[in-house]
Amino acid sequence: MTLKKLYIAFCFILISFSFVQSQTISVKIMTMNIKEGGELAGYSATVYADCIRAYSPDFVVFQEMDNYTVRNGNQDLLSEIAVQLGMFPYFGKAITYSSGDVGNGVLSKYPFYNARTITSKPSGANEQRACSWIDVVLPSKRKVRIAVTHLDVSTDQVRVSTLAKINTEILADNFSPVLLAGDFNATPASETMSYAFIKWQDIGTGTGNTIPSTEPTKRIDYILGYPKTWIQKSYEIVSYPGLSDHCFVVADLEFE
Amino acid sequence: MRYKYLIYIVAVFLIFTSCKDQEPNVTDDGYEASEAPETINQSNIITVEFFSKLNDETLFSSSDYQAIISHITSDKASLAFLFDRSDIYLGQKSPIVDIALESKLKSFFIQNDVDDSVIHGTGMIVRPLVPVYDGIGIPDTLFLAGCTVTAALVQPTVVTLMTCKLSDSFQFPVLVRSLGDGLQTNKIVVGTIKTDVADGFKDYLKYHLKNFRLSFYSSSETNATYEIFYLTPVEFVKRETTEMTVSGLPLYQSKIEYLDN
Repeated sequence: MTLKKLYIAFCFILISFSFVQSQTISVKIMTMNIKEGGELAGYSATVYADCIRAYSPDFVVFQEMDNYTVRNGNQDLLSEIAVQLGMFPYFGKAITYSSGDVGNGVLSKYPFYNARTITSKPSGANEQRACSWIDVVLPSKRKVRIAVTHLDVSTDQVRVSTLAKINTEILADNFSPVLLAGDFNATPASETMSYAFIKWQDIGTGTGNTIPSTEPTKRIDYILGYPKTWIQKSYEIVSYPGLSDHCFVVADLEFE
Repeated sequence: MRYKYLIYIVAVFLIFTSCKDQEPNVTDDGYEASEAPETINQSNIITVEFFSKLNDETLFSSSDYQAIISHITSDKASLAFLFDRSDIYLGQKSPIVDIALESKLKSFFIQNDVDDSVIHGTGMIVRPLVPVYDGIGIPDTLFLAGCTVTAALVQPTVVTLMTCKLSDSFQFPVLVRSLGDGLQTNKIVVGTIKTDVADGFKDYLKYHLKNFRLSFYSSSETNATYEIFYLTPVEFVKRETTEMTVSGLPLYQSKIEYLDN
């Protein structure tokens, strides 16, 4: 290969990069805590797929997702929903449970080229929790990282410790931009969320209560953005008491 | 505007100089791996099955995957199954996700390009639950990705099985840089390469990578325009490739030995 050819290739890449960076990132994300692997919906993929289809998200993140457990009838619920929606699944295990796995799930409309799950069980935690993420190249050729977590219910100290680990791992490679969504088991005024909001942008608006799913009184489910320059186009809290004890959150977002 | 061009020029210069620093120290004769031992340890073999037409056609012409599912579920020896050009239509069921679900395994899709309707790429189905999918994605240049899995050899051995499609020589330096630490962490790349650039790939690696083995497999198919390539650390060697078909789809069963000395 000649030096000239290499030079032309690098110039092409640089000019392409400059053009790609000028494209706006547009994503629609939905977060769903499906309570105990989807027990309320009878572990039915069709019920969840129908609900998700109504919002046409680019990404869906799940908490309390089962993978081949006895309680869910030994099924891969995440992949079943993915097949029905034409999306790509990534399961991130937090714990072994009921002869299978329980953890986070991510569905992506686009293929992902990188995916990770980290786990954390600080002293005082009830159980091990996980944070999972995928890296995606959007049709605009810009990249986005989509992450999900479900923080422990125990104490602020445990949750802050887990969040510190998430911040370290998820932002270690300077990837940008990132969306982190899920059940933080903490209200906006808590020590946990005060710590979270140091690095992350709160995408939500209004009271934003998400639990219980019938007449919610508390906000514990969030969509957070990094860096803090995401633009919220729409933000919806939707209630499906037959599917979960949590409301689901759907947001349409842009990033320049 | 002038500043923009100045930034480009400086950036190009920096890339060239940084690339030079990252190049391994090789002799003028380049790197060539020593011959692998003739005796094969059958207990240290990793089997990878690669479905491919080895040309620019999409792999699946129908959504009847039952024969493939039966093949996968009856085969307990293979570590992974790859499906070259198992293209996807955004928003529609992916053949690979479907096959993996029916086989009770997990899937991963390594795209070759970016588009808002059809995406070409290679599906990968692996046996264990994989927590890590490792890769890089550079639009218009190279997507290289795969899974880190434990192979049940004499000693359980962690390998990162990756794939990519190479169709032009400008991808070679990107591939080498994307391997990061070279092949020190048991990265095995099984992919396809356009036949007319295969010799160039061999020459490029000889002078820009160390401690590796590279081999190719050319199909007997008359309309093949690609070959399969196997890029492994020197501790691994591709021993054989067997051609077969499953439900009319060409399958290349490859055996790679871990030389655990």
